[in-house]
Amino acid sequence: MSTPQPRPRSLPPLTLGKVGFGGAPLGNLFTAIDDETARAAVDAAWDSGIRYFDTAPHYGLGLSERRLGAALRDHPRDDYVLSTKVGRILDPVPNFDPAQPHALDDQGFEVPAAVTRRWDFTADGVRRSIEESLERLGLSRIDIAYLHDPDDHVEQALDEAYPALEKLREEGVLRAIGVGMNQSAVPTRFVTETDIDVVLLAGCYTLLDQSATKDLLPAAEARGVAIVLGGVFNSGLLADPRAAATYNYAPAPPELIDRALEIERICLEHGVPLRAAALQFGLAHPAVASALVGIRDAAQARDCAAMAGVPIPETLWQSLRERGLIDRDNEV
Amino acid sequence: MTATPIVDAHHHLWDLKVRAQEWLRAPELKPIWRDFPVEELEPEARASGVDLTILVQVAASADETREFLAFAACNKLIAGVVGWMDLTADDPAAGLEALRKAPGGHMLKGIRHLVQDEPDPAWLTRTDVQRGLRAVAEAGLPYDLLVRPNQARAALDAVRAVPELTFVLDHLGKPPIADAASSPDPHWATWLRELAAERNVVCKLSGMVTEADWNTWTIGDLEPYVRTALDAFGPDRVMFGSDWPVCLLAGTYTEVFESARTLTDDLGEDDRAAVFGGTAARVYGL
Repeated sequence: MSTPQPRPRSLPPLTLGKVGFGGAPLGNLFTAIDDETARAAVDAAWDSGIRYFDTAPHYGLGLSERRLGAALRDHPRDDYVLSTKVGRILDPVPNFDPAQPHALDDQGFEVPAAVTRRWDFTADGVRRSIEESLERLGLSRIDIAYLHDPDDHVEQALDEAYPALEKLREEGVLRAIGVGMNQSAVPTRFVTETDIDVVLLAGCYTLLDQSATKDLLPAAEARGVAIVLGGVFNSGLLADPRAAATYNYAPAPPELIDRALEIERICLEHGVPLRAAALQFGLAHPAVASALVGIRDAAQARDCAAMAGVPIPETLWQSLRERGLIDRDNEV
Repeated sequence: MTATPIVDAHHHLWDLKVRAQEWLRAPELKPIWRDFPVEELEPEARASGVDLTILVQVAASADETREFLAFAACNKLIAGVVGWMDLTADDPAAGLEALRKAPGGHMLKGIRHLVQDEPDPAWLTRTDVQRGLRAVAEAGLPYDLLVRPNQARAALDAVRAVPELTFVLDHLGKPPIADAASSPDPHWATWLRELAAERNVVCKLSGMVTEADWNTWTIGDLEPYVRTALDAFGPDRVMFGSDWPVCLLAGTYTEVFESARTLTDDLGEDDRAAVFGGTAARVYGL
């Protein structure tokens, strides 16, 4: 691995704002929502000042992109930042019959499986994916395209998909290139070996998991690559440890629930809601530009915006550090 | 009368012959399962130096509100009514207009719905409810918010979703004072601060003795809750209310009034005048 060097930036930095709208729930993640609720969620986020919206073909087999595009189309294009992802092509299912019992998506989204996902990190696949996303979104420009979960396709993503995105960036179809993953090792390679602009990192820099401080965050900081955090609640545990909690999309182990409750107790001692601390924790890192929160309805949108504004006393981070609940050398 | 009138911003009245008040049949409420006419309140209030009061709805009934309005118009002590209307009605503005046109309609100073009786913890986030709240704001009235702990998040959302409406948090959001901890329940305290961070919320210093242990409460039990509320909202956004006659379950009118005076005796004169009248006069437009 070569030493990361700061690189000349070809693009003006995108203004993301502290909180971004995570669009997976708009694709009926876990449970279905209706179009009206989806629309109200985006509208409430907009009214609360949120101007960065993220989606992906993966989220509800295109449903999230369609809903988000429909809701954003009325706003001036330069007033917001939109990201989607590449790496999965949606192919039609021949002779799809909605009446069949297996007609529902099997990857966590409550949508009919009229199309199926196929991994594709080839240059052509990436171009086709962007084209189809533009069509579903009904927009003429994507601001950020993330290489989505190339865990098992790292070399192809580096050698074929990335150069294709670079070309699209030169052509002005994209304004920035990123990689979006649930781990920090592969994104660290992208940061050091390519000219990507941004990493979407899910779940690895949160109040419960700071593993990204070992590799990705210092590399990104050194190279001037922006980090967008996803999964700051680790899929729910840090939003409400008392609810039927999930950690990274699976039932939460008891010791992690205990840790989340302990963190919450300390937060409350400082008068800070746990979800405000979870949201703002990562934002204090100099490499982090924004945190995405999955938003399901208008109430969640307003709550997110409010949580980003809750003042957090420095003594809260100190207490968490003293009790070993966050890394001692953590930069918060 | 002093420069700022002393206001009791929260009390009720009921006549069981007019309305049965089924909720009073609970065994623990037996002491207040009888009529409470204004004639019983007047000497108590006057003895404490209270100049004006706000009569708050009891039943989810527009009839009761109309009775209260007409009654308040004729009574010198009652300066206004917080009435009930169906927030989920198809045309909530029409419902408000009808109340205002009723006899004594000018006495309508606010609206309340007993959200705590709604089984749905997310009731306040409903589209139709929030439309009703917007209609209250358009009518220039504040809204009294009474919720259970599992409705706390929904209450926050309503406050954020309708920023043009002034919300009056009843009874400090009913904290668990009976737990008699040395510091207030941290979930409640954090939630209260979240509410206070929204500028369109004010807080009623009321209903505390009935959230405390009815038989053994002391001023010391109430103190951390009063302090937290005053710190979070500031005296300009806090108003005293007796919650009479419900307060009688745990203490007399005088005891409730005097404990609130004692718990605010470290405030400056102006701040205290705000808590005991200024805030209520401003919010309810007295």
